[in-house]
Amino acid sequence: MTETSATKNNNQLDLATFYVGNALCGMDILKIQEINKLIEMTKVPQAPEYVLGILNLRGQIATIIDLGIKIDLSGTELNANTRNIIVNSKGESIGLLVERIGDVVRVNSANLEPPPANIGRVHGKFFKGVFKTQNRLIGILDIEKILEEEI
Amino acid sequence: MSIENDDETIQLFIQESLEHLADIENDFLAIEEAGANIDKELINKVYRTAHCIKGGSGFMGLVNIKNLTHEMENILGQFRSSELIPNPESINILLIAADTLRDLINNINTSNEVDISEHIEALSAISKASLLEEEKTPAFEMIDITFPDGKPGLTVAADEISSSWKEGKYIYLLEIDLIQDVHLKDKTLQGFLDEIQDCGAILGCRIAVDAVGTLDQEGLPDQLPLIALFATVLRPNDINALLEINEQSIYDYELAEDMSLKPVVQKPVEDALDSDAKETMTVEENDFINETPEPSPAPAEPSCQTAEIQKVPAAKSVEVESSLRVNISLLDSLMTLAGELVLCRNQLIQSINSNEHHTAELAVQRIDLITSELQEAIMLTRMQSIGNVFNKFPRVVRDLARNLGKQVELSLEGKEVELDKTIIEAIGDPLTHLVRNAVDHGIEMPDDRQKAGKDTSGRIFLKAYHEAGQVNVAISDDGKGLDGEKLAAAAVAKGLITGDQARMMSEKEKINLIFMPGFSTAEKVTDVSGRGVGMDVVKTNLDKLGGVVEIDSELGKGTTIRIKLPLTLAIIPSQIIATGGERYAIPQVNLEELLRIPAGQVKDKVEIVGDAEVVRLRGNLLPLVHLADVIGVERTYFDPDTQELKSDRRDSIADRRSNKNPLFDEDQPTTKARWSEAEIPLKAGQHQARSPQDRRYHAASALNIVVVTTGAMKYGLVVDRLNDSEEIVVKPLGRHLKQCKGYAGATIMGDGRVALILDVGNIARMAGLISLDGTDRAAEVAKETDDTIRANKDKQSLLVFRSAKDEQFAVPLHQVERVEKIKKTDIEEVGGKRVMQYRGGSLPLFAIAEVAQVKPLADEENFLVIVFTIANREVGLLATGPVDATEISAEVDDSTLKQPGILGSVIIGAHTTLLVDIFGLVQALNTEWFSGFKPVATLESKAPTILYAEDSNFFRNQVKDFIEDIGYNVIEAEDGMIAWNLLQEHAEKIDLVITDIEMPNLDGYDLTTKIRHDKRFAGLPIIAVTSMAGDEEIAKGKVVGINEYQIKLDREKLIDSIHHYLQRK
Repeated sequence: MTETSATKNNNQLDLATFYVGNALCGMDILKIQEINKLIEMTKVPQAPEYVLGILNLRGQIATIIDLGIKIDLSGTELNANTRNIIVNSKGESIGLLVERIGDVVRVNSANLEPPPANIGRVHGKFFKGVFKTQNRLIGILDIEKILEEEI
Repeated sequence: MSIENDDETIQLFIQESLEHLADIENDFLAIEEAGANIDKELINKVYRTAHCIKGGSGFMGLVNIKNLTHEMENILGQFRSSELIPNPESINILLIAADTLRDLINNINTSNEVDISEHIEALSAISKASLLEEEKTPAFEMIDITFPDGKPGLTVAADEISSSWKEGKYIYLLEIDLIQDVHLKDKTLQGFLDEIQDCGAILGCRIAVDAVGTLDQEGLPDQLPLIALFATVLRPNDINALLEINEQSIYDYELAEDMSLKPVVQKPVEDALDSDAKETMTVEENDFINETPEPSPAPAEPSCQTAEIQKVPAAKSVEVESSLRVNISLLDSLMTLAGELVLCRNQLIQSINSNEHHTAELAVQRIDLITSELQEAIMLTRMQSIGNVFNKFPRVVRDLARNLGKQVELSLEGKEVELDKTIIEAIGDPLTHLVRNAVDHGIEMPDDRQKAGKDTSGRIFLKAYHEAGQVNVAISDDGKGLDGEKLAAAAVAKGLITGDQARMMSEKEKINLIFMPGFSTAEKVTDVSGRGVGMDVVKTNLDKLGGVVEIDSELGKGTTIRIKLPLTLAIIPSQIIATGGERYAIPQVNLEELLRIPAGQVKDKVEIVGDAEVVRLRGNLLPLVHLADVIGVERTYFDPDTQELKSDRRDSIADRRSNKNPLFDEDQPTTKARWSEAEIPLKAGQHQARSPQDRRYHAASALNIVVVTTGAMKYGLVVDRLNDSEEIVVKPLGRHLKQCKGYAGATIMGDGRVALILDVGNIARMAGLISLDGTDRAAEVAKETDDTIRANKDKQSLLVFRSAKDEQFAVPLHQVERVEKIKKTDIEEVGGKRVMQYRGGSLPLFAIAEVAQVKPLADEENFLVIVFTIANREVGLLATGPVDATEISAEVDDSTLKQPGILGSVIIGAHTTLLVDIFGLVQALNTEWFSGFKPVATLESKAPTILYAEDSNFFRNQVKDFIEDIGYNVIEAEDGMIAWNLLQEHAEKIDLVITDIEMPNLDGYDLTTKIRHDKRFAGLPIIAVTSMAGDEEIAKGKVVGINEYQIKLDREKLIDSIHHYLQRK
């Protein structure tokens, strides 16, 4: 939880940042299991569009989700910069495919502000809030909400 | 004793008690059945069980369990001494008590709080009933025993002491120090108790917690005495050889006239009845003499016993299911394997470090081997026999039948078949449901059965067996069966299917409607089977296990439900296939066979029925499903020339056929006539729509078909490539893929990539082969069309081959053991005979031409050897290809071309084909092998007479000939009805009946049923002969009373069987 790690550390919070489309997004670095390059996936025919495939993550089956499509943007373009952010959600490993990875940014959680209607064409409902840094906005993604199953 | 220790002891007690109890039900049932002819051994066994549990529970302060077992023991004791005759009522009470006992043991922490007075009363009512007349020690008289020095001892039921005493046993009061005598000698308490129980009986015991001392006292407690009253045949001088405890702690006691127990001589005599009141059991029985004495003046610690009781509930969370008993030798072999694995790892690391390729390879090989062995061994530790599940059914059936007023006999077979623990646990409920269903809905009330001409008591046959790496469980009953029409009507009424669909359905499909979600057949919900769980839940549960369930039923005759289960869930053998560039796994459970149709034959083999593509497979039509279409990937095919995948743009396989489609071609009226227009809605436009220039015809695109099955449904899945079969580990898919119904999970392949596991049932549904699919329909259509052109004859599976290039031969397929390909050079000529080396021995070889007047064997480089087993020896018939297995139902001509070694001829694929008489051939060449088959009787009149019912002239003549050859008389009957009439005419003469199954007028089952219902023929052996005996036929036959199944023309086995039955007579 972002809150807990923040309180532990004088309200300081390390954010891993990454780009989804043009939006600079971030999430608590402690929620991330690992970040890896795109390795060969197995396609799953008939899967929802946002599921790119599944891969073998050291013996576990991880579902790879194109974060772009999942939050209603266009699909992520695959190139040398694309990365998988592996998170653990409800006991399973899920890979979030992002355009590219940004820096790790340390912020003060007290500065979290409610999200605007949208950030770089991404709907505000996917964000828990935003941090304003000197020159940019970092949208904090609400991962659990994004990963909710669509019924 | 620490809490942990305590916990362990309780665990052990629970485990052991449950193990003991596992058998008790069936033992009770057996006792009930035996009635007055009691089986002493059996009663002793149950008695011991109760006694063991009683001993343990008393030791641990589990009062309720102790009291309950004590009462049970009393009754059993009376059974044993014939004071009481077991009857259904008393057994019923014992069974209920055993149930309660199990509950108490399962919830051991709260067992002392449960009110069991009702059971105690019921039990003691039985035992008292017989005791009344006799002047016996009341069951509940308790004797308090003290040590000679006045220390409190324990309280034991008087009757037990007196019975042991009367048996001439010595009685000792022991003070065993659990710390000095058990713990410090590296023994376990359980082991110690077992050891001494082998030599006698512990009449009562308790732990003297008061002797341990309190925390206030100095030093740690160095003793924990277990006080036990032990009855044994061992003399005082010998007793310590067994116990190995301090001599001073063994006190010899004797039973005095006044029923009190006194220490033997020279030792100071104390009042045996002096003890603390807390030891005495109080049970709410009015008329038993509670010999509670005055509380002892001795400073008995206020609550030595209650302290013990309280300690038990403190030991929390007793989980029985979490542990498993494993054979020590298995554990040892696991250890050895683990050791070997470590060695191999070291070897591998070393060789890789030093770059020794060769040793690395060796190490990898070893690891490969060890891993498989390890996997197998670990699987074995999880294996449990299905008997664990089966054993509860006699009770279930008995209780249920009693409740419903029905008579049911249950036979169990294959209890020893083993399955993974998780599966054993999971099939309990579905199987119980099916068995309950069979009793509740399947078997009719006795008078209904009588009216229907059946035995008043119904039969349920439960059988488990291995087949093709799976476990099969079949539940058959001879009840009223399922009414397909009723089921269909109900399904229509519930809106599950439409009336049109119902009309299109075959009987089997209708019966299978019972598995549809939302379908429950019980017209009224009884508390027996209608517990809100329908057959659909049974199916869903079995599906979850990777099992397949099938149902077969004949109205008025019975129902058979067959379940196929994988041996284990974690690792499953699978066929790997590829489509659209990805690999997929198909579990072996679902796999029937692999089929490859070469490009050149696609157009001949693939047809269109309705709008579905089907392939003709051994006379049945198999619907085809394109995996690529179902999962929505582009159809591709694998081009063997370029080794690459190419996109396949054809719309349907039918396009691969040439335009001269025999099905649609006016020039071939015979083919067309086979399809009645009403049956198959042909797409009229299809023919014209396809223009000759149109797309297609890639010559290299053979069709790869995986024939899969899910219960009643069977279809062909068209895939791009067939890869190897592999053992895969099933991994679940993430939640975002739950909506993809076509997959059962995923697995990781050898190269580290992931492959999806296909769920063939759902794929069929996705492809529109809705649950009660077109398969059977297609089969029926095919059958009907076949029937229009062929006489309704027995089908015969034949292996077709050649000897000379232009002469075709066939042998019945079931006689063939194997077909091997050999080189000419493999054949050796030794001692004037041809042999080849085969599986470590010499296989005699022969050719048809050696006996029959046919063309000599072609001289080729490669031969086929068809291996048969005749007279318990293997022989090889030399032949040449091509070989093919085919199913024919054409008339066999047994006159024109008949000669030694040739049974007759039949037309197969426009060739006259000679049917080879393997038995005759081998007999002609090796007469000496058949000395065992000498005629049984020389005098015509004394030879046994056999009635043989068979509608086919060919088979009748064949079988009759060889039965007569061995000296029996044969009376022939052309069908079941004639056979029945003949049987009545010659009732006295006929010693055995051989019957075909498929016959006009009266079939083999009905004939058997008729015979079995006639008292005169109760013991008459009946052998059924068929062309193909499947398990379902066998099971069905057993239910109606057929003694044995044999295959037609398998002369040897049939003769053996006839001998067997006639000699036994």
